[in-house]
Amino acid sequence: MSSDPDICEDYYTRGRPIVKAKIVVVNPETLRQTTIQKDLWIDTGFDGGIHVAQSHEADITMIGVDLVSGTLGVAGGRTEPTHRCLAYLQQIGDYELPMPGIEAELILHGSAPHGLLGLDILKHWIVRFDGPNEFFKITSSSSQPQR
Amino acid sequence: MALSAPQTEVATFEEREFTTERFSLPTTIAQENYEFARSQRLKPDPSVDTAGRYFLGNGPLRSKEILEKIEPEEFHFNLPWLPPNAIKLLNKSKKGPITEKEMITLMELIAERASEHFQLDVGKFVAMTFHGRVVEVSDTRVGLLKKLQGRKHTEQIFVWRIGSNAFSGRL
Repeated sequence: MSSDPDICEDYYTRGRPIVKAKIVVVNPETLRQTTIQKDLWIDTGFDGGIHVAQSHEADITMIGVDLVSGTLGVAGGRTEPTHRCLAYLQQIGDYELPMPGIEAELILHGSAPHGLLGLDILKHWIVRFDGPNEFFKITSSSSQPQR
Repeated sequence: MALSAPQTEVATFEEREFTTERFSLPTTIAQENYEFARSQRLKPDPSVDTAGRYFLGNGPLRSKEILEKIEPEEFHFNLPWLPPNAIKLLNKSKKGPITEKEMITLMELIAERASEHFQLDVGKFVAMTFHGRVVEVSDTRVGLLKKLQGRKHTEQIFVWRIGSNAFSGRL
């Protein structure tokens, strides 16, 4: 029914809509970059960009990027201190996004093995969840959604 | 007493401009109160011959010593507008590490005072120093991070979403 170009689609992993992603952080002064490949949980309850484990901080600071302090609201209503920087989402599933990728907030926090893909990224696409069949599909559309 | 700006306050063009404006403003009520209290404290009692010396408590002190000991209770020259709790936490952080809870409290206090002072709109994304100076403002998270990217700051900064308790997170 839809003619929107497909970006990716897949079945849930362990009951969750999880997608592989490639995230790149660039030092604009030296153009050195680091790549993070991560499984991201598509999370419509998270209003930020991309959330990955704090352990990736070393990869980013190693290329000379300064992380910015800030806070993150977590489950249960608590607020926790975090670090963040600008990153580029360059690949989702097997789909390579046009260079340089989608600019995104990259939050470094916690130690979860998977990351989160939040609404600040999802706002670029149409995402459909088929709950009974545990299936999701991400499509791109330049047209405005019908209300 | 002359006000002097710390070296860190004159690092960037915007900050220099802001600093100049701040110190060209007329004296605030807090400053006037402090000056009045100071003059009252240092004023010699005309009924007593002090022989050119000021008295504090039981022992005579030179005026220079008194000046060194004066510590205004509510007015901090470097941080005249931050709440006392924020200044306490700032001072504590300079002496050693503070807890995560204290760090969040500090950011909340500074962001709240700065957003009131600069009348920042709810929902704006702001980067500010721990002394409450606004470094950048943007309508979006990414917009703010792009503005900050690659810039070196003489002071540590943090990002905040005005009217929210977190820059991003669980809805």
